[in-house]
Amino acid sequence: MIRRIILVVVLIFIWLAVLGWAAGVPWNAPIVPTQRIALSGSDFRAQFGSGVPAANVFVVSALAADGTGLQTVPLARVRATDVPVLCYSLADFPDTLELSLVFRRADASDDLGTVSIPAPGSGMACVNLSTYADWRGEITELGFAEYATAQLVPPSVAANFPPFRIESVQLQSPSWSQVFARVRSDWFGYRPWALLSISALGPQIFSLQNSWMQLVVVLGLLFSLAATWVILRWPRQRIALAAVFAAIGAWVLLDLRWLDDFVAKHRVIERLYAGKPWDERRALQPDEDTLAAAREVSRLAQEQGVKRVLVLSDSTYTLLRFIYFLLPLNTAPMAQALGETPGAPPPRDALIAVFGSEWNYDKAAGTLGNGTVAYRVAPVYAKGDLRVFRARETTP
Amino acid sequence: MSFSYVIAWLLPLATGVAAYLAFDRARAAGWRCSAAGYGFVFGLLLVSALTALSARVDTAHAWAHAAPWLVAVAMASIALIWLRGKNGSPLTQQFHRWGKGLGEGALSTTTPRWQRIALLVLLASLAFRAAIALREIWLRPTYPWDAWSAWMVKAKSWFGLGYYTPYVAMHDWMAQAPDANWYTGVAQHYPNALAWVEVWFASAAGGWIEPLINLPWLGLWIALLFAHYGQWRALGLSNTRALFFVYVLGSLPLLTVHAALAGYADIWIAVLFAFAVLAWTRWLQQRDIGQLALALVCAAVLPTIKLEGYVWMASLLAAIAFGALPSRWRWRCVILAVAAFLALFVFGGAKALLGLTGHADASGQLALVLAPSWHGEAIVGIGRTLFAQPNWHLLWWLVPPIVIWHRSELAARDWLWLPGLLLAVCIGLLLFLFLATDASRWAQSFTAINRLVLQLTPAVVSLLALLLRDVDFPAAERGTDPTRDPRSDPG
Repeated sequence: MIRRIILVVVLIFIWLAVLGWAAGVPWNAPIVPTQRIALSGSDFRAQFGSGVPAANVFVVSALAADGTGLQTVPLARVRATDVPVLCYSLADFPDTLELSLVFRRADASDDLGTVSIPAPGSGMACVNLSTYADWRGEITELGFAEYATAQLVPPSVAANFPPFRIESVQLQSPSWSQVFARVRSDWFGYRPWALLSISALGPQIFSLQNSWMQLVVVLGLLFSLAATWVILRWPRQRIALAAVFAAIGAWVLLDLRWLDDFVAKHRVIERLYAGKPWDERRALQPDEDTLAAAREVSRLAQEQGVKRVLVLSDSTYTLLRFIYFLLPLNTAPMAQALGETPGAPPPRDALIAVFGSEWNYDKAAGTLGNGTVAYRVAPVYAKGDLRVFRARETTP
Repeated sequence: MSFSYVIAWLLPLATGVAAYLAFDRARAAGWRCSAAGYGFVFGLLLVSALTALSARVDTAHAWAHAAPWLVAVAMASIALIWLRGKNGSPLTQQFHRWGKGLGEGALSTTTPRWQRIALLVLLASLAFRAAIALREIWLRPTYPWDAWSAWMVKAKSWFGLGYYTPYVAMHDWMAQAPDANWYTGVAQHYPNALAWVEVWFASAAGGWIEPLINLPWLGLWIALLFAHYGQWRALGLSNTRALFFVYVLGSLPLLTVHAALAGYADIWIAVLFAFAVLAWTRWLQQRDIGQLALALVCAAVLPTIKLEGYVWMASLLAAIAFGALPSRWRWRCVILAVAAFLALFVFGGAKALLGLTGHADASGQLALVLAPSWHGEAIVGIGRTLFAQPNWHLLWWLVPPIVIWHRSELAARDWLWLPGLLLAVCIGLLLFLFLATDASRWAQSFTAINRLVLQLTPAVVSLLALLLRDVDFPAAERGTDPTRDPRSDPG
């Protein structure tokens, strides 16, 4: 009996230790935080977008015209390293938006530091900022920024959301009382689909180092089995059977967590696309502006009677999306195509579509260039980020 | 959903099943599921080949052009089965048996009640995630990067144009004659097989409707699970154990993601590589020549899907050849292969050879492996992606202890250690790629590493399933499975 009691104590110690390690809590940390800066939602003010303070909360009702919302609160020079744990509670935060923590340091008052943080879900979410390199010095302003989830949610859809509330925010020194809130945020916080999801699940938030449930579960089980073997002196066969059960149980546990994540990821897709016909869904792209620009270029190509289009964009994502949207037009990425045929000018039978690029049109010289190379072109169309040209006969 | 689209699913399935049954002479346990799984994949591969051959001038009606040829292949396969039926069970009986139900007897009454309930819950969870994946594909436009930047580009242009046009290198595209109408793109050198499958489904759907074009990816995931269940049963796993490992395979998060975020070619490679390994294992265990033929077909098709398919095909063919050698030759071959690998890729032999033959500049795509250098920093990325991130549950934690635990059995049976050796070599090649070449950046950025690991993962799960097929756990399941084919374990 005594051995069993000892085992229970040891198991509690083991799991607290691995969870504390996962949460980044120092061994000598107190049970409750020694320093705590508590902010009420009503302390915040909208910098971009619309919102109003109400009883102890700040109600955010709209993003700004550029698709961004920002709410901040001034702080009285808080030393970042003293309070590296951020706990926040935002009620009804829409899963179509991405949330970032925004802060201003006294030593760089012209710059805002920004780091993506998990959507809060229900209750209080906690993240450890001590691994974030820019979280240092004295913090003079703190806030939240929101925008359409990148490369997932069409901005036009993200702009329409029911109001959400900033309820409370705390900056705390590390303590053991944060362990469960910390690992809950790391393991069960909503992580939207990302382009990286096809290659790896989990590391979407690069800037904040989070803990991995799988590693913690494995280490906890291994130590627990070892403790059981030593304390209860189980025979090898029995401990092997326990290990098999533990492995199956852990697998199912991790699978449940994955299913929860899968469902949460999918819920946004249902919200965006369910109940709409294909023609409407097809237009709901996360890069609606690229689709609109591609449609404009297709129209111009037809108008001009050209069959080929060279596409130029500084973002590889935008470039390849543009090309895909233009199909079945005969397209090529301009920089790569010209790079593979040194000295050759753009073909005269092609349009040149420039979208979101630093390449400049020199009106006096009649050239399109990037400072290194320039090609003689004639402007055809310009609106917003989209400029369309046709190649001319000679290259300077 | 149109009638033609439904036919576009059923016809390849029926043809593929008939083609599989033409190969698979022995009706071992689980053969219906094997036929359904392999059949679906073979059907799509036939679709690809026949669409490419018959629909180049009219891609808008590709399915109508290729369907008669598909019917012809189905009839030829049925004729072959019928001819064989003269010496074995009659054709009608074989199809009657197949039609009796794919899951028949899956959970026999000898299985303890708690295990049946647990398994039903686990299998229901697979159905649940399949339903989510179905909705995910059904609702949204094509999402993942390579799908719209590489794998759908040719198909969308061919279908949109209404005819086939060649994709050429960019310098050829720039210099083409006005009437040439050549196309180009960043992935112009990728194989065309998947593009033709997409053209088939687009033409049957009557438009470039991405959800309907992407839906076969979910079919592929389901086919993978069916075929593995069938082959594992044929290789001697009990119903319970085979179904449990179906759950293990189907629950792997990244595999599910590749079905839900449809459009990547990696799951195709994973399926074909696993099918080849399973069929080869059955050949090793049961000397069923039809299974050897299946393994060779699956291996041969790999390069038509994706470029790394060449590496996996070469590995598979080398392993099959190695397994066919007399024992006394095997070690000499291993030494020779290791020496050749070291000479070519570690000590620069391949680069020198290319230089000597005047092809030094032709080494572009091979450049990564031609100039190896140690990248120890990639170990962190490899470790995180396999052991920490939620990509594979506990799979990679369990592989080493299970292999060590069953090392004596692994060493004792050709049909276990030969596939094991093949997988070890393939994993070794991946480690070489990520630790000894500039591809290490793909491990550190968690990108290509998991997709390459994915290509081997179903085969690795098969190895674990076969190693654990006879483990006495729990007590209620002791003893030999009465339904097991007595020929299934010659060792």
